[in-house]
Amino acid sequence: MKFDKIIKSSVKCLILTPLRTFLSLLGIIIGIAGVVAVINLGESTKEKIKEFVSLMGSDTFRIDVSDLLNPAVEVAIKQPPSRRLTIEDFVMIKKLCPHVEEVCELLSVVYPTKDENLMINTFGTLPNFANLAKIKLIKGRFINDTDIQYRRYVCVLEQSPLIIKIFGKIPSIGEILTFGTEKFELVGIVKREKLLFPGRETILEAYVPYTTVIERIRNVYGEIYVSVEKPQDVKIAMKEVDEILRSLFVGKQPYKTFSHEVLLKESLKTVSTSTLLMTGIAILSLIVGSIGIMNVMFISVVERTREIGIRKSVGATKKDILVQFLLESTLICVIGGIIGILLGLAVTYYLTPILQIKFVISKTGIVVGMLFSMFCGILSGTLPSIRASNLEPLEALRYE
Amino acid sequence: MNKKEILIELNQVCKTYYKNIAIQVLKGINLSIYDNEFLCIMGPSGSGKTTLLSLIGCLDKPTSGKIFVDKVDTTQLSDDSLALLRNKKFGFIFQNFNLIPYLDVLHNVWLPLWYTKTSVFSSEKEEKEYVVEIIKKVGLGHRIGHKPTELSGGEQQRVAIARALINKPKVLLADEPTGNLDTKTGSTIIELFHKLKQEDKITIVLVTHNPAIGKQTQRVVLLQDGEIVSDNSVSNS
Repeated sequence: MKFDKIIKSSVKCLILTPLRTFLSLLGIIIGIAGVVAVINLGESTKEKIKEFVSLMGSDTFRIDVSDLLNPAVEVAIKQPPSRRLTIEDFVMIKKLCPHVEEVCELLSVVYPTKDENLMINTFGTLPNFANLAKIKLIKGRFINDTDIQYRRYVCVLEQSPLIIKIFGKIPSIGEILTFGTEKFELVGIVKREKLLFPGRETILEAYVPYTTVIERIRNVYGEIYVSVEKPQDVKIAMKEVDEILRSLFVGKQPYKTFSHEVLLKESLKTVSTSTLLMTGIAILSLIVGSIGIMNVMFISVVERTREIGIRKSVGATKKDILVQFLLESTLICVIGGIIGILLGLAVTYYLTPILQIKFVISKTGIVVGMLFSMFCGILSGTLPSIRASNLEPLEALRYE
Repeated sequence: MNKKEILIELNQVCKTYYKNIAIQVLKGINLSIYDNEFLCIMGPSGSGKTTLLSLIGCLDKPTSGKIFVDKVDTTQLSDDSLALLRNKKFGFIFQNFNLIPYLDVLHNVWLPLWYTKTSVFSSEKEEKEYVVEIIKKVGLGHRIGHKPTELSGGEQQRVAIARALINKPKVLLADEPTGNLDTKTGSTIIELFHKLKQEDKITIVLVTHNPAIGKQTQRVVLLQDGEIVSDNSVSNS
């Protein structure tokens, strides 16, 4: 039998027995869609983490001081009050660490707006943050030393369509803006390539003097950003800062330092591990799917015993029968694979906005999906096909 | 009749089935089938008629003995060579029609051509036209797109005949072709066989219980307990 005729015959058989074909397809579609969706979501999450971590830049590192206890708690558990980091400490760090370029703390305070879906996230910071975070000035100026010194109620807004949504118009420099119950004078509008935290659509970012925030909200601790001149200096600068912090917090270590590189590696490792685990589960479901196909193919061989006898009686060779059955199972898996890949991509496409991650089409997911579906098709079709091809024509014709 | 060429020759053919005990179905059959002969194999149930027909048509292999088709010893051929021989030389008609249920009349009849090694047709269109022509020949031109379940018993048997004829076989092997049909429809099928023998010079080997059908054929071979007990061509000669 010529190959084109075998293909036609197999396709005809699949089309003319729709229920059997659909049931076989179902297992493989779900399995492949699972694999593709998991791999794709893993890739999308990795991209998001890379984007998020890159906000820090490869020439900065972070010191997390959130382990410092709230002073009220310290009193309650009768602990001597911990030492706090002050602007003077930052100046000292900058002075004593030759590889440190800038040190700056970010204190985040979130204010509600009239629209309950929208928020303003203010970052109490120092003037050097503009330089450290490579902020581009659009209008006016950034926080300056005088603002810090006199704890002024001034703010700098991040350029965003949310400004109009929240304030009804683009406010001019010098205008007084209300954040919650506080009033701040607008001194500038800036732009960053990427925002500090996810939720670009609903959170407007603003910068205010560090001292203004610390005066109002004493119990909040944020993160300290340290920048270096060259990315390769990060490690040595971390060591230098660590030594100073050790001397400041004798006997305690209420801080952790994270470099861009370490954070990225650790986050990606976590995502890779969970992706691998999820892929493993998805592959398991795929194996169950292919066993399902094997089952359907076996039943199909039994159901079609007489048909095999008829085909053999009119001249089909063992090879003709073997190829036809193998092709049928492979076709089921390839078609199922394609539908599964599309479904997996669709699932990822609709899940990414909910998970607030970027939609990425993973080539690995598609290749793995395609290879697995072909492998399952051949694997699940082989045994039933061999069984079908080995049937004796007379025996098959007499099968009831 | 003896002047005619021998098409199929069975030499001391035995067939034994082994299922817990050995059952010898055919015992040393010697039979010559001539070109363009209309042969009828008759006998009581279990006498080995269908087994004999299956051995002639290379659907089964004898336990011992030789079977020659066109002077080729088929007992020496591989399974694939036997498949090709069935495709080229034989057309089968069964009591229960044996049509593929999900294929329509056109594709059921077309089936043997799919397994033909070298096609005589230059295009698929030409091949299809030929299939349609054969379907029309058995009087089913109006049923081409119908599935077997949508046809009457007589029509299904005509589809089986059309399928058997599609590869222009030398021999038509029919196992109780009228067994599932009423007398009138059965008669038209037998008439069709006679027509095929006359017009297309096809050799027909038919297995039946029905003595009336046997009377309409040239030669009747009577089987009993796996042995030929009478052969009217031998007694005539």
